[in-house]
Amino acid sequence: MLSAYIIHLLILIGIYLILALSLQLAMGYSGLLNLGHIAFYAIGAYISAILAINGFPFFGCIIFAGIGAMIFGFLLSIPTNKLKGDYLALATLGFTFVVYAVTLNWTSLTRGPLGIPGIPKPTLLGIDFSSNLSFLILTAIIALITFLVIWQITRSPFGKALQATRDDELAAQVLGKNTFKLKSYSLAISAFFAGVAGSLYASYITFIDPSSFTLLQIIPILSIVIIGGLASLRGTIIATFIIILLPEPLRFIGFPSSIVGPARQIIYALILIAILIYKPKGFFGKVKLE
Amino acid sequence: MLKIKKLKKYFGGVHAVDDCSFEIEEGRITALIGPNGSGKTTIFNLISGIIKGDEGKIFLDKKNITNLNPDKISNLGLSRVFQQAHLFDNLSIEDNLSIAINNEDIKFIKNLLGLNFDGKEKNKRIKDVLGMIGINKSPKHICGELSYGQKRLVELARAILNPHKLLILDEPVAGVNPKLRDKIKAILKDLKKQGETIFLIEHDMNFTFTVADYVIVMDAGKVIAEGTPKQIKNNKLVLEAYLGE
Repeated sequence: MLSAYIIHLLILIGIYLILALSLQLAMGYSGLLNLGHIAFYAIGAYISAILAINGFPFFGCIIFAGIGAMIFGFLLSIPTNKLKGDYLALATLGFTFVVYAVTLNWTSLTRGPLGIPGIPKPTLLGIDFSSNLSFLILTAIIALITFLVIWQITRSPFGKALQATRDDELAAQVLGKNTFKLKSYSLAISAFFAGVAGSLYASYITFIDPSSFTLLQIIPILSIVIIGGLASLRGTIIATFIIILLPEPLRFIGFPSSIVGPARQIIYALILIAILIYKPKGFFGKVKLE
Repeated sequence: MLKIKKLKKYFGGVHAVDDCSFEIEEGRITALIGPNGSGKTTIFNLISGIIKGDEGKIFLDKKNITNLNPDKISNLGLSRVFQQAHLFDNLSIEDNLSIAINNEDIKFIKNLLGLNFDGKEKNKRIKDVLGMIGINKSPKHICGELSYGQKRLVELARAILNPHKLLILDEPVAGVNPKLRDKIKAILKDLKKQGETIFLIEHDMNFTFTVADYVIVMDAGKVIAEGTPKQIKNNKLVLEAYLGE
């Protein structure tokens, strides 16, 4: 029997895997340096939580969480479509702040800093996923579906056109590719899966508040994508396990939790700096980070 | 095939293209020559929609393509090679070429369901064009690792595969060795035999006069002469403007 601690870690790995794979689609395969991924995660979590406490079935919650985040992803892509690199990063970063401010201040909908407690555990097709082991199975299935969909996208001509747009947008346009649509679809699909991950998170923890969706939360996801390597799904999977498990030994050394939290961020930052200096393509990356 | 009518493009006070009009006839190779800064590449950028003109009209096969976006112009039948190679450097040669052929890659659901993979016919076309340009690398080779000359060949192959009515080439032999220049010359002559219409910019006069059927000369944003290579070679105005004689 798996211990509760290991099950908890595996569920986190599953959720982060969905987040990182979807960010990989936007960042690694489409060249969109999107720092707004956490905002889509938050949108998914809040939509799912609000629907669930109003009696919606889990299937509806997770689908609407994905669709809601996808719509915001598509909308964000319209004003940011012509932005590249650092400028796009800044604009998407701004979106994270906007969503954070909304979750904090629209108290009639989100209860602001008090958060939304008592989110029901999921039941899907008559199966109860309230135990952690069953929730792990559900997370693993959704992570597998996410992987298969993104893998299929990246190997299809649509995915090749995304990669062409990433490498040279002008050349892609001159070959008849509507790069505006390609980038918008990529950001929308990426946001869809971030929303799904948000829904899983809300159902698992059963409580969400704005502090779960601050800018700091993007650091581990970004680290996974960069350390695993841009445009590598295999690298993303391996890096997710490494990044989630690496700081865990800190818990057993006996440091107080006030140290463990910041130490985690320091570890991620150090790894990220080391990778950027010594292995700019990450471990399995096919594309150099510009 | 291509008709340019009173085209103007100003960059501040600089008249890059100043009231230019000319036509490109179907089935022949037309060269656009002129000194540096005469507006040749600006004309190409206007034709392919990369920049928008201030005045005038551009017609491709009788369709008005003035100020349309590059993807729309490409889908109406224009294929272009740039002055500097614009390959997708992280993709293989095969992928670079396949992207040019596949015009259903934007249909997301079709792609997601796996209904848009390149069939045997497309793969054969890629193989044929690779045979024609004679590149001695595996189709799986990553384009970013190719030499400059090989990159130019792959870009030419990609432009050939992109469905088109008119092929425009911006200095196709700039910076390539004499052997490769002869190879590109042979490819262009071969394409002409197959009925292609080609419009090119070139500084290499030997190359231009042996490959082109018709030559248009620009200077300071204006068309100063046009005619057969023989007529252009003996045109005093051209010699003065272009060669400084």
